Amino acid sequence: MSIPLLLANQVNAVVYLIPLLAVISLVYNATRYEIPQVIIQRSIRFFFYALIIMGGLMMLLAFLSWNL
Amino acid sequence: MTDSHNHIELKNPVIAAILAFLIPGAGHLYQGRTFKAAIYCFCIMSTFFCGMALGDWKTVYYQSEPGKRNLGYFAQVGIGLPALPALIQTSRYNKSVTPAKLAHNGANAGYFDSHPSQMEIPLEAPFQGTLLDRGDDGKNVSGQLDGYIKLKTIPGEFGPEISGTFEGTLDNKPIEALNLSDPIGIGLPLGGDSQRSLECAVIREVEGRQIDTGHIEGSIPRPFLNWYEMPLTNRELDDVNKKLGKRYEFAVVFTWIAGLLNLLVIWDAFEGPAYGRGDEEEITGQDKQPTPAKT
Repeated sequence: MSIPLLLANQVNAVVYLIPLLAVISLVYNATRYEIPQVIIQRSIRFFFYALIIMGGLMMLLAFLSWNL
Repeated sequence: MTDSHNHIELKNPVIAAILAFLIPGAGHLYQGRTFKAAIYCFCIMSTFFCGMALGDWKTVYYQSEPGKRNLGYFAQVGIGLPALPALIQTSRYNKSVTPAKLAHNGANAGYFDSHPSQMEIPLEAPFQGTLLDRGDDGKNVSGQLDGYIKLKTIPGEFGPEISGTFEGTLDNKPIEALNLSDPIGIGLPLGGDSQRSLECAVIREVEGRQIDTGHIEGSIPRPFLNWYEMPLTNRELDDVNKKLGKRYEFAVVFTWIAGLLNLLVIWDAFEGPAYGRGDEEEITGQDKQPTPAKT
């Protein structure tokens, strides 16, 4: 296996979700609006909202499974 | 369609939608919406090919056999041309792997077929694998082989036989050419893995007779068109899951998401953006400016 693939195996799986979320927010908002500035502003907002919501859910699940 | 779409020149929406399906962003490029074309092309293609690379290029395939059908392909095919070769590959694979052949070889046995008529002889290919043999002095010889294999058909006592040689290194040290012979097992020419299994017997001359003293086991490369987006056997799927673990699942999800995102892009090319240009609030805000009161 090549070195980049070996490194990819070591990385925590959650890291893959961040670029994926960035792509989803950019493409989703690009299909909503037409003006580049609006697309970028909205997608940045969408990205951070989604990150906060997912982070919150992860914290909640971590809290609920504490000492299980 | 909202009024705001009047600002956007969609040209022929059907052509734009077809182009957007074939290559993400191509429909928007046709409409002259270059910024969005660049976003779609870069984001969707990179997600798709990252997924392919993370999954060892085995994430996109279409298995049409009942019971093995992978519905995930219908999400992946949304990306168009990059995923469409899987349909051609499935058709080629199904023609090559007949049910009779599957029954003969066993669906999960790696499709080995030692019958010489099924093989492409003469065969010359790079080979990597292992050797397990008994040397001329009677001692066991084993290690990693790396070199070149040549197989050909020769007339034998009981009909045509397969003979060949291996030239290369054993544990990175050059060795004398190994003489190879039947029985030979070789994977099918088409398969989901870029490597094709091959094993055969090693023979040595002992007291004037050719004796089977060991065997080599390894793989030869498949041409790109014989493995790219080809259906995976259960064994190949197990192997890739064992090798990559959770990363394979992430890789598959990447390709699904790329395909599904392109559905939004196709709709945007056909119908325009869902909420309009995005400057409607400003325009509405300007319209709502209080007019000077009449005196």
